[in-house]
Amino acid sequence: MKKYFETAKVLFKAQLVYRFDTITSIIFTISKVFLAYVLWGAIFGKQSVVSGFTFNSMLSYYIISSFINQLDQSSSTGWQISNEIRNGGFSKYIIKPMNIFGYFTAQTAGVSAFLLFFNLTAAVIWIFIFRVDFAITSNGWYIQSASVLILLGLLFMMQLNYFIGILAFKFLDTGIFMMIKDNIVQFIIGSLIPLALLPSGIIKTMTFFPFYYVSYLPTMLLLGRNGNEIFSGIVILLFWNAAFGLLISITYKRLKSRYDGVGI
Amino acid sequence: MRITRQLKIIYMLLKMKLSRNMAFRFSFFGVFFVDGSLFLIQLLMFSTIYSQVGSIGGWDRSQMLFFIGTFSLINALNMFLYFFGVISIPGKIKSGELDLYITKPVNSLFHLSFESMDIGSLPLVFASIGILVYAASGMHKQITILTIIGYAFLVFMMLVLYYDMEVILRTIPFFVIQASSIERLEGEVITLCMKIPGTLFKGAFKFLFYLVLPYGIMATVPTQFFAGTLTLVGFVYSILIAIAFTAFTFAFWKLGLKCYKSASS
Amino acid sequence: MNIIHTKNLTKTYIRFEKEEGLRGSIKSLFKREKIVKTAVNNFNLEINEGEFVGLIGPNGAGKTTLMKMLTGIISPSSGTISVLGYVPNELKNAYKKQFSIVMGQKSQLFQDLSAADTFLLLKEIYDIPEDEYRKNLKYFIDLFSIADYLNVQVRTLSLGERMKMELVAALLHNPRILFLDEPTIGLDAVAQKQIRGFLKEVNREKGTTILLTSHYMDDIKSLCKRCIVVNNGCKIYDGNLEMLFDRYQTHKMITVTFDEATSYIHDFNVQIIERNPFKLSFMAYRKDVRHIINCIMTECEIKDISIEEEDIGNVVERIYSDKGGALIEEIF
Repeated sequence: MKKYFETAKVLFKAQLVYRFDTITSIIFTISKVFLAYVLWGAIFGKQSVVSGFTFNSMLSYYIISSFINQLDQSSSTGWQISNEIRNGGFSKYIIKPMNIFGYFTAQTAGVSAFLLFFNLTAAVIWIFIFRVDFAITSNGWYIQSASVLILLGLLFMMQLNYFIGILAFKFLDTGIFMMIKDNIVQFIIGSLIPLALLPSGIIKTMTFFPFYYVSYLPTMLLLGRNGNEIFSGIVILLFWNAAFGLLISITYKRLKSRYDGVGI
Repeated sequence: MRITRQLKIIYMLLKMKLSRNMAFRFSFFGVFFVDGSLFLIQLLMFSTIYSQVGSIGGWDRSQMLFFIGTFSLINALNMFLYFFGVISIPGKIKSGELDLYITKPVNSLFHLSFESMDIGSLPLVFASIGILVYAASGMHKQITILTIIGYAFLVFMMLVLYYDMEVILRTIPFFVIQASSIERLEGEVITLCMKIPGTLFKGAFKFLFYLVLPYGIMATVPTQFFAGTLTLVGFVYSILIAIAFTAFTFAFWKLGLKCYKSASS
Repeated sequence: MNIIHTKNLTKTYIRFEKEEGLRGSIKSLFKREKIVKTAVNNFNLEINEGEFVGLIGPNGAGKTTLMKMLTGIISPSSGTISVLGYVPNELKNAYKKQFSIVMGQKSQLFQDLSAADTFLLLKEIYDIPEDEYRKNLKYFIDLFSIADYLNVQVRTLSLGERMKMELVAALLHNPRILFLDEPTIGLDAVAQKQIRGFLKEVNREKGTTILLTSHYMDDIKSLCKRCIVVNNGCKIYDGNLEMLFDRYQTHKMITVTFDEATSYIHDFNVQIIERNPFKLSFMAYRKDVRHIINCIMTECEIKDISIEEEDIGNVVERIYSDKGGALIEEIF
C-alpha cells in the first residue's frame, strides 16, 4: 500500500513544477459559474423558481458541481495511458512490481489532492464574487454520504477512463472514444445543467447508470436535497464499480497478450 | 485572377485533406461522431435551459431555437472550414514548422487556415440548417428571399469575425512562450457568450462582449435580423466590427511574422 | 551578377531565465533575467548568380539563422539584406517564387500521401504552367531515377528516397536560388553521394545558385568551390575552399615500417602517433616532410613508407578554433 501512497506523493510534488496550467484551469471554472449567472439571471427575472431551484440554489449548484468535477482528473490519465500504449512507453509500467491500475489511480489521486486546495479557494472566491447566498446544507448525514458518493464516483470515473485508455491495445485511435466520452459525460453527470431540469422519464432512466451519482447527486445532497436517494446511490455505484473492475481485469488480460504479440 | 487562384488552392488543399483522411478511415468517421456528439449535447443543453421559460430577453421559444441553430451553424462552418487549421498554428510556431509555410508564395495564414478542412463537420452544417428551418417555421413570419440573403450575408460576416478572433488568439504565441491558458480562455469565453443571446448582456459585460471580445454579437445579430428586430445601427455596427477586426487580424499576423523566432530543430 | 548581398547583418535573441519550481514561475511573472545572445554578428556577404557556396561552422555558429534571414523566415535585428533585389522579410510572393529551401529535418511532403500528390499542390502554389511542370517533373524523375516510388506513400519511403523527393519538390518551380540546410543529415554514404551528384548537376545544368550548410565536410569538399566558415556568429573565412585547406591542412601523416627492430631517434619537430620497434607513425609539418623523409631513407633500412593527408576532422577543428576575423580573405 505504501508504494501507492508514495506514487501519489510524487505526483503531488510534480504538480508544483509542471501543472501551472491545471491551476489556471481551475480559475476558469469561473466561466461555468458566470454562464449560470448571466443565463439563469435572465430566466429567473421572469419566475422565482425553476424545477425547484431558486437563483441562489442554482448558482450554488454550479459552484459545488464545478468543484466536484475538478476533483476528477482521471480523464487526462486515460489520455496518458492510451498515448503511452501507442508509442510504446507503457512497458515501463508493465515491468514495475505493482498493480498498474493501482499505480494510475494513485497518480490521479495525487493530482486531485494537489488541486483540492486551489479548488476550494476558487469556490470560495466565486461565492464572494457573485454574492451568492450559498445554499449548502448543514445536515451531517448528507455531507458524509455525499463524501462517500464522491469517492465512489471518482473511483468509477477512474475505472471508466482506465478502461477506455487500455482499449488502445486493440484500437489505433482511442482519442476518438475519449473525446466522445468527454462530450457525453459532461452532460450526463450534470456539469452543464442540473439533471433535475430534464424530463422525469429521462431522469428515471439515468438513475440506473453510475453517472447520475458521480457529481449530480452529491451536489444535490450538499444543497440539502434528494436525501432519499442516498442508499440506492451507494448500492448502484458499488455495483458499477464492481462490474467495471471485472470488465477491466478481463479486458486487460485479453488485450495485453496482443501488446506482447506486437512487441512494441 | 487572384481570387480564382486562391479558390483553386483551397480546392487543392481540400482534395488533399480528403485523401489524407481516406488513408485513416476510422478517423474519418470518428471525427463525425466526435463533432456530432458535441453538437447534440449542446443542443440538448440549451434547449433544456431555454425550455424552462416562455421567453428570455424578449425572445420567444422559436426565436431562441433559431438562435441555437445560428450558433450551431457558425460553429459547424467554422469546424468545417478553418478550425483545425487555425488551432494548429501555435504548435507550428513553437516547433518551427512554420518555416515551410513562410517561404511559400501563398499567404501563409491563408495556407495554414484552409489546410485542414474537416469534412466530418459538414453533416453538422446541414443539421444546423435543419434546426433553422424548423425554428423559422414556428415563427409565423413572412420570410422573403431578402431575409434569407441578408441572414446569409450576416452569418458570413460573423463567420469572418469568428475567424479573426480565433486567429488573433493564436497569433499571440509569436510574442510569448506560454500561451496555452489563452486558448483555454477562448474556449470558455465562447461557451459563455456566443451561446447566450447578446441581448442579455448589460453594462460592462455588453461593452466587453460587443466590442472587446465580440463573441456576443456573432449568433445574436443574424438571429435579430431574421426575426426583424435588428436596427439599422446594429446592422452597420456588426459589419464595421467584422471589418475592423479583419484588418487588425492581418496587421497582427504580419507583426507576428516579424517577431517569429523559428525554433531550430 | 551579385544576387545575394548583406551588410552588417546582425541577429540577436533575447532569452529569459527562470528559476526552477513554482516559486520561480511566479517570480518570473514579475521579474525576469534577460540574456542577449548574438546569433549572427555584423555579417557581410556577397554571392554571385550560379555559385555553389558552402557554409560551415560548428553547432550554434549561426549558419541556420543566417539562412533563415536570407529566406525571410526571421527578420534581422539590424543591417540590410538584399536577395535578387528583394528584402526577404517583406515576404513578397514574387520573391518567394524565386527561391526554395530544403531543411534536412523538416519535411514539406505530406506523410500520408504520395510525393506526386504534394507536387500537384506545389504546382498550384507556385503557379507553375502545365507544360513547364510536366517538363520539370520528367527531368527530375529521370535525373533522380525516382519513377518507381513517385506514387508511394511518403511515410513508407526510406530517408534517402524521401530526401530526393524533397529536393524535387523544392526544384519544380525552377528557383534561382536553392538554400540547403543539412540536406544529407542521417543519410548513408551511398545516398549522400547520389544527392551530391544531383546537386552538382542542377547547379551546372540549370544555373541554380546554391547555398549549402552541412556537417559533412565531404559534402562541402566535393561540391563547393567557395566556402564560408562561421563561428560564434562571425565570418572567419570566406574564399576558395582549396586555399582554406592549404592553409589549415598544415600536417601530413607519415608511417614508416621496418624489417628489423629499429630505434631511430632524431629531434625532428613532429608529433608521434605510434611507436614500436617495427613501426613509426607521426605527424609532421608539410614543409618539413621532404627533409624528414630524406633523413629516414638515408639513415634506416625501411620496409615501407606512406605519406597521407591529415584527417579532415583535425582540419575542421583547427579552422573553428581560429578566433576572430583575421583570416578573412576576399577573393571575389
